[in-house]
Amino acid sequence: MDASQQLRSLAIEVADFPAVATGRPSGTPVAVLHANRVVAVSPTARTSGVVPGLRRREAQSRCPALEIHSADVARDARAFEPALQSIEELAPRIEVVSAGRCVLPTRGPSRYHGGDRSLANLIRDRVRTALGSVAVVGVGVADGPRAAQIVAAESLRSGAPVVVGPGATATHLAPLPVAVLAAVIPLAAPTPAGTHPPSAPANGFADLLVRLGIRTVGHFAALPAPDVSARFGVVGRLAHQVATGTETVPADVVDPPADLVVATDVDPPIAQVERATFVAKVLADELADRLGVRGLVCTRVLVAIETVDGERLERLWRHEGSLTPSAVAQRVRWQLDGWRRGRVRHDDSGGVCRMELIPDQIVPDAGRQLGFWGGSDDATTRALRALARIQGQLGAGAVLVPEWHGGRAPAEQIRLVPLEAVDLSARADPPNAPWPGMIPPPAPARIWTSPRSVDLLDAAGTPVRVSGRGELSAAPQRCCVERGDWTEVDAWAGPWCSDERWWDATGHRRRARLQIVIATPAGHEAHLVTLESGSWWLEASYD
Amino acid sequence: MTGGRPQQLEDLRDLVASLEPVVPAHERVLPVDPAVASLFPFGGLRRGTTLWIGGTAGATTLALGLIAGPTRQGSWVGALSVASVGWAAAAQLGVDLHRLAVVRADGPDWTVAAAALVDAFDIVLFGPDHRPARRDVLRIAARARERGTVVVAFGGTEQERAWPGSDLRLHIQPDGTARWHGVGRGWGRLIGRRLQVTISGRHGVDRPRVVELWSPGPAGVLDSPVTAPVTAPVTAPVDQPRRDTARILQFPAQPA
Repeated sequence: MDASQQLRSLAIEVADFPAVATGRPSGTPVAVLHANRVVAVSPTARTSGVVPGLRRREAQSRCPALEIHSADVARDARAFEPALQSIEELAPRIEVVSAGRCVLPTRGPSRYHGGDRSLANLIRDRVRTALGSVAVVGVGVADGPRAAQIVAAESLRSGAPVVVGPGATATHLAPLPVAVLAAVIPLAAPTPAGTHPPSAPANGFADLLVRLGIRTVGHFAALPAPDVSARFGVVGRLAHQVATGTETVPADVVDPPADLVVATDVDPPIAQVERATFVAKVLADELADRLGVRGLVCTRVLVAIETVDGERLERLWRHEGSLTPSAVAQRVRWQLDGWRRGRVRHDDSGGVCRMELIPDQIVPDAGRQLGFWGGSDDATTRALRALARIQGQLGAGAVLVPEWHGGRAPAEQIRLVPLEAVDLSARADPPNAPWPGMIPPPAPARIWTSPRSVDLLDAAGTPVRVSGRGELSAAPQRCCVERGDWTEVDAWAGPWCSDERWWDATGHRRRARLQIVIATPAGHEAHLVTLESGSWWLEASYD
Repeated sequence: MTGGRPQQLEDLRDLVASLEPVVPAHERVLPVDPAVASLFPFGGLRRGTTLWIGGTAGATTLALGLIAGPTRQGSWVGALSVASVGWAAAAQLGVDLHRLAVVRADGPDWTVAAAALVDAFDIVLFGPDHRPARRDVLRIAARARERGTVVVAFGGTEQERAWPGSDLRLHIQPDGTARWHGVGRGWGRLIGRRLQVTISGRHGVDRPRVVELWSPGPAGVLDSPVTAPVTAPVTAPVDQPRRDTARILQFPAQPA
């Protein structure tokens, strides 16, 4: 049996899966945005001219009824879980590339279900049933998992499963443009811990090929393999194998020794996902330690979860680059979330009683050593362990870390974000971009979370206003907070006016801020008051 | 056999205690910025102690300014019940925000989070959003003493008996001496504030003293214009409402 036979694979791709995962009915125009760019759209939105890559405003102008959703990797993973469960009965060892895309080896299942084509049809019907009529499902079979992904993308356009016969992959791919190779080969560095949706693959490689006069996959396949390796390195070698239909398991992948499998019996059984994730994090740490001492990283991990009802839920997770412990824990969380949602319908809720992490593909660590938080000292390790424990008890959202954000208002400059959403080994530094209209330092030490109304009067007893040219109507004389006692305004500075997002009908805000110092029996107190829509409110205090 | 074991254990504990190296107090101190080191009897935040900062206004800035030095030296700060703190101000006061974690917890979760933080962090910052019961405060202090954690609590006034039993208490004088500089009637901007702080406590502070401070100073961080400690008239001991009496204080009228 030759290598190509062994790697014969079936790939499934769901068109615009992030839009499908929002769960909106088929007639609704939906767009999913990441970093203000459209990443996925529903068919209805596509007919209105909304395509991936547009800015939010442009997308809204093309389709005013457009529903905007922000990208959420966890939501996508949860939504994909029913589809995976439905095909799991047909074929084992499904490998999830990302939400909406998975690959499985066809050798055994095809033989059982009567050939590649009938397996492909069966799987497509199952996935469609599981995801609902909104989803457009492409299924492709070819020699090699990456070639199968290219064929599955082709199947999306034709609507029917595409099956490329054994040995015919190179001929089938030959007329396609070289850009398709870039789409299935990770060229850019993987996003840390899978916190963000994967960006569009950098197609510098494909661009370079086009500039060299190599326009189709066939042209590329015709190049001698050693030359491609010499010019483009590992990426080139991989792409060449896809183009020639000779994909093999990478030669440097070693069979993991049995003692790398980490498992734990959970007693008493865990019913909450939060706590199970915490257990998974501990396990993943242990796995990372064991791999680390051997100088290995894990690119594919099999997560097996057993429940008290005797069920066993297995899922393979792949990550180009390496799976960090937090990335593993996150995937366990997705797996459990999706699985529990499936269970609720079956009216069954057994707890988790055993969890195993089996490193499926491990490669020598080429540079990036597995460290949980980057180079960390003892205090950091202790602190982060305690935070993980708090997360395990109170939920992932309970622990926050400050992140620089930039902005005019004191509350906007730094945001508290959940610990999980931050790559602690590469924290952002304070931005040095100017913010015109920003209040000069010192920043107020207390920012009121709920606005408190302020009355600010001049000597004549009329409310103080700010003109359109940014001038005060009169000198403030006295003020009171929430109809309390009146106090004399000792000094004031400002106003600082800001006219933010004037192009945006809903986000537009015009504000004027004033530093006031009031004299109380205890001494000076300084506050930052804000005028918006004709009324003053207390935004922050220089406590 | 079973009768002898507790005795053996006791002997072993004594042996361990006698073998443990004695660490001098000044080595168990997290150093604060030099400008404010004179506030503390040991020149910094002593491990295992509880520090309370209070007053009608100014406690937040002072608390953030005091943790700035340790965070830049690599100490981690866990903050609890601090929803209203402006972290931009903390950054300007010199706090390394990469060494800070904020925990959101209330109700029964509060004590769980507090215990976990005190166990593992160098400094735990308790904000004014939650007023724990006296029993919890004492328990936190005992745990901090055992683990060598510095507890910094801020907010509330002396009259409210906030954070009873703390080792060191910095109380911002409520007698009208707090002054903001740099701002006038329609001109300038807030630049710095001068405060008078009464320092009282247990160890190394035999009698309360009053120190004048910039909080924040013109450079954005805490600064001390007048470091000479001025002895205040005898005031009530810690944990009892102060009987405010006329005080004999002489300070330069203008900032340095």
